[in-house]
Amino acid sequence: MSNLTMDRLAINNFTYRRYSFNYFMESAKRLGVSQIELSGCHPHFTIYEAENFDVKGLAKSIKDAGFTVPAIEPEQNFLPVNIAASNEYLRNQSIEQLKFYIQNAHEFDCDKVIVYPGKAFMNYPHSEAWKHSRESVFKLSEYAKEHDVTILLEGVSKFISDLMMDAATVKRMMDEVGNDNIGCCVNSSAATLAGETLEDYFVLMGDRIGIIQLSDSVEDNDQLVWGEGDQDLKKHLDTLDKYDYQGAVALEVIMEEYAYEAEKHYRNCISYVKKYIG
Amino acid sequence: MKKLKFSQFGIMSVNYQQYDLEYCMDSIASNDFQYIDFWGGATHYCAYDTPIGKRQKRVSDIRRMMDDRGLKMSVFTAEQVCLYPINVASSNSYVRRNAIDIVKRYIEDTKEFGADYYFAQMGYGMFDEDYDETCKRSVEALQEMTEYAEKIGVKMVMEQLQMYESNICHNRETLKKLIDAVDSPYLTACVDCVAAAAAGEKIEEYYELFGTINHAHLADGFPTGHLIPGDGENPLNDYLQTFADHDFSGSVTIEGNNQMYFDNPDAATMKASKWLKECPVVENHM
Repeated sequence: MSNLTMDRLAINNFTYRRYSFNYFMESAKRLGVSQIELSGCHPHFTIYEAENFDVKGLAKSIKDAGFTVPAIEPEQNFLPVNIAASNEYLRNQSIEQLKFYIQNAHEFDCDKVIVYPGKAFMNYPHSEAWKHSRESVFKLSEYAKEHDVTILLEGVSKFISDLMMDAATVKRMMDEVGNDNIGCCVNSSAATLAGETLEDYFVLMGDRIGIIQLSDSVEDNDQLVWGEGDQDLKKHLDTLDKYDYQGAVALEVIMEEYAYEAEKHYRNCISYVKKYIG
Repeated sequence: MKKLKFSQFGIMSVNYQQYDLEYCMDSIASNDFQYIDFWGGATHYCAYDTPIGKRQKRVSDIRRMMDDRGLKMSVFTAEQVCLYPINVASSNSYVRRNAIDIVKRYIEDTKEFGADYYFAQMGYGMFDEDYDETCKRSVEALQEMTEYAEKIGVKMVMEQLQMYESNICHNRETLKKLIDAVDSPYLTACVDCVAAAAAGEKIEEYYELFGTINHAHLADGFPTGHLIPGDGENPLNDYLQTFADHDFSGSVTIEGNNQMYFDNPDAATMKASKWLKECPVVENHM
């Protein structure tokens, strides 16, 4: 049995984007979850919802409901956010959108914001997009310093972006930017797709892992409910114990079909995971 | 036996989102297609990657890019409800107003692009919101969009989505209800062959229900998946035969929309071109 306990598990409201945020919180309670990986997704929490988003109101409703927020994950795949874009306007707008989450993180008693590398045009020089991404991450981490926030870089699958697909490229970005307030977020599906394990991340940058995201996957589809793919959950959990990881573990399941009857899918996911944890 | 023509087919550009637009258009044109079904998303072109002051220049640049390659735009398919916060039926009036304003600008762009149609979407409500109120807001927005489109001479098509995309338009019947409520020749049905396959429906049933069909999306699947023709097992020849038998003169968009094609969309387009050239229901002289 793993040392991981239910109180360290988080679920993500992105899956509930076709439900109100209040419904999401009620659902999380029904599922016995006490932590929320807060997705900056539409229509829950983006700059698109209002002229001035009522951040304090959202933070209060989360606290009043008794949830903690281990990390904020601004939506950067569906939404038009790309910090590596060759289009300067989009790149700057993307940085502004991410700053919105950084400046407001502490309202949620949270000090971690997840940042994706952005996407490159594959027919442009890879080095150019890498440079854009690095400069954007630098700007964001400088801004995050002012707000006592740590940026967690997340390697994403090759389907999304070819800039940071594995532990080595995440580490490279971390080193090249060089700021101390940069950590990483490890996603089991991205790691598996890159032919890696969670251990590869622990070996390379174990002390800088800010959150672990677990989801199942098959070769050409990722972030499935546990049991729907072919990853070895026990092996992942053994790795967390081996390295004495004490942080939060987010169950992140994001197949688009899950947006309908989201609770059913999360319930199946949690039931599966419960068989392995204390 | 009646047939469709190769020149009626076009490629949706969504698969090219990790390549720039010039590459995308070069690939579509060099695979012998004359129609591009233009996906409006970052960073090819959308409301979020182009400041309003530079919009007209970007739109005319795109028009020139097509003209240079002998391409025509069949449909302007802007990213709306599936990924972006463009929900014309939202209960949040700020979101709804912005969405309708963005769509109106997209309708203007459709005219500038010289496209045959704008791809309208009906929006959605939250599953825990009042369903009837969402439908009411959607119809009001669609009416406003259609009036505007009619005023400037742009036609629109609309297709059914999946339940996880829109709770108010997830099958033929709900699509029919919305189109009938608007009741304008400027808003007609687009048949999505993957949705038909997923629901076990025949194309003939769409003709029976809608009467007029002006545009179609063709993709393969098992039965879902939005795969390139030949990569799945759906009865695509049967679908195309039904369109041909109805003397369908509109355009058919090959809507391969799957991240498995994102790293090499040119190969997917080449495969689609080859499949069509070997298809017994498609006449091939150019």
